[in-house]
Amino acid sequence: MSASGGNGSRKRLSAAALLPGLPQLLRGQRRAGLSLVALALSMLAVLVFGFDRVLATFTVGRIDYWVAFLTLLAGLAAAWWLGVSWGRGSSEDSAAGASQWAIAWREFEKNRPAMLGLYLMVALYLVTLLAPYLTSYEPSVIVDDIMRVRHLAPSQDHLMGTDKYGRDVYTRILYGARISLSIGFIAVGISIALGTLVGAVSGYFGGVVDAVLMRFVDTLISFPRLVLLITVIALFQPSILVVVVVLGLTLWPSTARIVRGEVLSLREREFIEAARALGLGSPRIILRHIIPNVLGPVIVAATLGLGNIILIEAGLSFLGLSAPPPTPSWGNIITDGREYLVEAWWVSTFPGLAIVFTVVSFNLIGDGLRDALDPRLRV
Amino acid sequence: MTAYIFRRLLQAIPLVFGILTLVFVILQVAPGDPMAIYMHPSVAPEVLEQMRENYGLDQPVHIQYVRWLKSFLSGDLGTSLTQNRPIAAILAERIPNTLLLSGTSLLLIFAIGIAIGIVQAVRQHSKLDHALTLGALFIYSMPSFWLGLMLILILAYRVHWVEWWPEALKFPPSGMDSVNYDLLSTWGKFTDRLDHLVLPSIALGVSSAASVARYTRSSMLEVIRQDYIRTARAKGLPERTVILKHALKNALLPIITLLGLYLPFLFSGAVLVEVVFAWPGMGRAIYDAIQQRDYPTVMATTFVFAVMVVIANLIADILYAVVDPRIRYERERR
Repeated sequence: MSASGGNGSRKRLSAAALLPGLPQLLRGQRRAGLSLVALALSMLAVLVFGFDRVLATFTVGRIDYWVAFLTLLAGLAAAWWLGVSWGRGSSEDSAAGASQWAIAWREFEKNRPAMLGLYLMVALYLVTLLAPYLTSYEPSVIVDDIMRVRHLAPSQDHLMGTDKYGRDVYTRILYGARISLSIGFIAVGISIALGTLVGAVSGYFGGVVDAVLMRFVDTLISFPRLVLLITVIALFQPSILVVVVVLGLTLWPSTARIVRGEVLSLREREFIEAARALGLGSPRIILRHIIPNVLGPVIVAATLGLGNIILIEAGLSFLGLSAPPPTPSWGNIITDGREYLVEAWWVSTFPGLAIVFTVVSFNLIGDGLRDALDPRLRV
Repeated sequence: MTAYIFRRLLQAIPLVFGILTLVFVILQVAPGDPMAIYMHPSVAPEVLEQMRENYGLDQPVHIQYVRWLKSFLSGDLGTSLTQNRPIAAILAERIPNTLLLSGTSLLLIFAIGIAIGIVQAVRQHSKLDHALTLGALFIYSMPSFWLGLMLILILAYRVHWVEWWPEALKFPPSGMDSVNYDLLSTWGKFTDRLDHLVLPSIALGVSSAASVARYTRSSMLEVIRQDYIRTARAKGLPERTVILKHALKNALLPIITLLGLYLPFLFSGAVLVEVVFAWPGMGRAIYDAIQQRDYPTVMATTFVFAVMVVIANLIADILYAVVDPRIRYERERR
């Protein structure tokens, strides 16, 4: 890269210390610069405006406060560290040396809607982790005389109003994000792992194994998802653990189908034949040679599935079949507001908007990944 | 053609068995004693034993399984614990309502989706196209039950505060018909039912409509590039005829397969939307049954839902084969 030795280097260091992203901006890397500036400024804002909340970490001693504290530290550290190191000596790699993932990332970076989705997602996770610092209320505690604080319209004190128990809706949405996002994440993890394995085994072995597994997949797909889910969850008393496991165990079939389709064509390729000729065992061929080659479609399915699972989880908790009551989740906040929809529209409206924005950002990322990871679309 | 339909029917049979088996397994694996709801200090243990015997719960699992298969296949879905009448009778009242709601939704999905898809394809890369794509993205990411609540809030309540809002665009917030339904004339009944259908079917269908639009757009774009369309244009046909008569026919072929794909999705959504709009369908039935811990009804409704999906898929496949001779030919040769 540019020969920024000695003097220039010191200048850049001081610029970075002043505000991360400044040197990048000066060098004309607008995207890197702006995102660093945004990260640093938002972390500083949390530190300044929520200073008493941050101090409370040491007295309250609750784990979510510590998580928020670590996130804040990590955010600040990352902003300054990246501010110094980002864009130094990189981005000069020739196409020949770039890995498949690097090429995909470059494609992804050019896709503006997808990058917007990515920023939204990062912001969402940061907000979720920092939740205790971003509000001065507690999600499930009624602070005052209930008759005086219930159903207050959105105002400066209560950004999104209060619900029928006088709890701050904005706070409940912040804390609810935690449930919705983590349930989604873990459930997608389970279903993707299971689906990939079943699909790969089914496609690789073919014959009877394939027939049996695929008939099972057909059977599971015949059930309307939500109906199957509410049936199983209702039978095993709803709790967060049950919801995560059941979601994970019922949503894998579509991944299995996608993977199987890919494997069917991979199986006939020369490198698999070579692996077999070398005398490698089937588990090794499947895990080391087949699965890495289907990761592209699997990642796309996972991102799109994440949006889907958040919608499904919202539906479940709307029906009262997810996290049990005082714990907020986006779905059950909507249920809380349903009774008084006309008197207090804000209770149901805002969590729904949160769901829409989350799902939109995952869908944007998913679409972008599909375009970036499919070489056929790249030509 | 008959051979194809017959073969397709044969394929559906193991699927129904699979569904039955899965439902049975879920019931067996679930914790808790099915007799628990009868347990009460005033009920003698002997009576419980007797009931257990009556229900066949003292038999070994495989015998219970065979009995279960037999009774379900003969249409006996058991007895509801809370309503004390055959579940089949309860569901018989509910199924038409769910079909009415999802059928209307389906019509809406395809009518709106295809229309928007065509507009987008014809005006590819225009501002309108981008705006519609963006709108579809948001609508596609909306939870149906939330959209339902918002529709109720705005179109059933808030509009009453607006003086100039036309009476025809104010909709009832819930239920299937008005209080005076039985007193209305046939036409009055029809419009009343239609009035009640509008909001729930929009809430249920709009997200699928967004995805139909997406599919129509891409399938239309593919067709428009083909030679025969250029020929049609070259011989001087008006653009309208080219698009609506020549291109649309072929572009719609792959859309038919979506029909089978959306039904499970639609039924899932129906559970939520029926709860929001107090629509007395199967989804509402399964929700109420869960609230009252009426597990036989829950299981039977689940089973019926799944069978309805299998039947719908069958119809979609056959329709596809009717419309597209290539499919029929290929599948018959296999």
